[in-house]
Amino acid sequence: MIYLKSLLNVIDNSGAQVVECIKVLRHGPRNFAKVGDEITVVVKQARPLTAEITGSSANNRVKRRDICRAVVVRTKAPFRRPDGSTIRFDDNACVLVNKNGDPLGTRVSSVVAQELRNSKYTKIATLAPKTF
Amino acid sequence: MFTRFTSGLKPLRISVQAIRTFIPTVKASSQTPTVFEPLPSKRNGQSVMKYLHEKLTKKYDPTGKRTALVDQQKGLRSGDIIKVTYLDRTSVVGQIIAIKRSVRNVGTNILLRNKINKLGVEVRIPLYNPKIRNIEVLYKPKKYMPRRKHFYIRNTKYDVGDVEAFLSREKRKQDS
Amino acid sequence: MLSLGFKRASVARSLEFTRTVAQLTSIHAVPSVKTPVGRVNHSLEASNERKCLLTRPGLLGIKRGMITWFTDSGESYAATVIEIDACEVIQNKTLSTDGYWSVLLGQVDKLKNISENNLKKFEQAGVTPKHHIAEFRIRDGSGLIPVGTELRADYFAVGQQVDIKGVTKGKGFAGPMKRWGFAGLPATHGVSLAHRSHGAMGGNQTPGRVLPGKKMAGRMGGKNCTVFNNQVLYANGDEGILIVKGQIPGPNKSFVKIRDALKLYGKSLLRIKHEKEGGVVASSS
Repeated sequence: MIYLKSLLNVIDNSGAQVVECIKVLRHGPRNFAKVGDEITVVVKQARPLTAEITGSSANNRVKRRDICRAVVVRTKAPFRRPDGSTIRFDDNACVLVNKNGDPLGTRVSSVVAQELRNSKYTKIATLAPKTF
Repeated sequence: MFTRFTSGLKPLRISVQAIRTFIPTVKASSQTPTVFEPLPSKRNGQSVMKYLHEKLTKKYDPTGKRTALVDQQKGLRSGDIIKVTYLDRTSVVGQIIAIKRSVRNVGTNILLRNKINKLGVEVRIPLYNPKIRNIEVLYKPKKYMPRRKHFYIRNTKYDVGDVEAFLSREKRKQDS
Repeated sequence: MLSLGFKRASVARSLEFTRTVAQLTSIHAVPSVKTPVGRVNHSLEASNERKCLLTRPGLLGIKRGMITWFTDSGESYAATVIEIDACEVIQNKTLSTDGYWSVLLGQVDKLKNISENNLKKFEQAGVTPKHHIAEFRIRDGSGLIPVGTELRADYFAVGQQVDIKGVTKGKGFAGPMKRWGFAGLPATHGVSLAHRSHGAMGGNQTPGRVLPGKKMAGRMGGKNCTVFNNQVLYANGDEGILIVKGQIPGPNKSFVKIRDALKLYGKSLLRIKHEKEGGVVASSS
């Protein structure tokens, strides 16, 4: 249940660490984002840029106060699967994406929900070390 | 005493007084209405919910193994570590933190908690789901935490660790 | 009617003036024609034609509670169990005698405390006296069912959609927050003893009164409610069990009416007529 002002952890190497939701996309005014939903976020906390980072990941790096799109990959609120099981993670997390839905970073560092496999964000699920 | 009206059979005209003696307003006259016999009771008169529950448990748990797992005395307890294997060979391992037992329903489910990459994940698994192949008990602790529902252990020093790593450590301890 | 013998052309040509006898046709000479009586929209026939109805009656049942239902593919749903207990046809109402087509059904056998008047009705039908009687209107005579027939749960097919009507749980006298979902008043900022009340009722001078239908506190629940398009998950006539997906109104043990989904299978006579004629009818979803 990601609303306006919800804080999320970022689990890719785009440089952002904590972001704040400023808009839930493609939902009604009173609705919330679930796993697999796209949101607009503002970067609240970012890793400092160092000289070591080079290549494509350096171009895509985000700074504090940047506004970007993100996909919710974990939620603290339990969600239901068709077989009746409910899943819950200990934090809210997202992965930053561009407007085409491709991830900005090149790596996803932690577990993501299995729902992403069947969505259009399959790439995030393949990048992740584990899906749950 | 009663007869059921069937085509070709004439309904037996009986005095309603026989079954409705407690109604004094009915005058015993030649024109007392016929009361037809009720339809035969279904399910041998058993209540619907009880009948359905017995039928469904037999369907989803023919051996009674799953029901025995959640037995209040001898079954699983919060603190045990189990492994749930599905028909498509995927499996979930975790420590039980709660068992929700439903009455006259196959809605019983088990709440498992685990840590993957230091991140807590929880899954509530319906016990009688036909997709589940097997439920295996991997570890039973010698000493249990108090309370039946272990919601309070979340994010405390009593929280579950990485269950798989814990199990392999336990195994090594036993081997040595 | 009055034709004077003026001839304009002749007047222009010559100043001759001829006068003929004025001709008046008597009213009595006109053969009377009876104007057809206009179609009254408020009549029973017109309303019968307009009404969106089903071809067959539904069933009566008793709500028994909710369960978890697993499909063979492993999907789980919340489902409601409905018992179909001795649901029999008591009477058929026809267009000629009653002005409309309908089937009267009764459910749950009742052997005590029935008035003699009612007893006679059940005797006529050839069924045991019933606890609960209800009527289902149908589109035409083809859907009538012989009196005394028992309708079983397998009357509905698994996978079809049904509408279920029941009486909702009574909530007693409820405030506007519970009854209408109002936001209530603030917790602080000088609000005293009115945290759960509604706010303004309307204008002071204009309209100077509370408009009818204003949402206010009052009795909540205990009213008829229909849920539409619930899928049938299981139907067994011998067991008398009908299971539908989702929830239905009312407490357990309450009587409910079940019918085929009106929005999917219902049609009005007028619509059928239009379709037969090949006329353009706005297709409903």
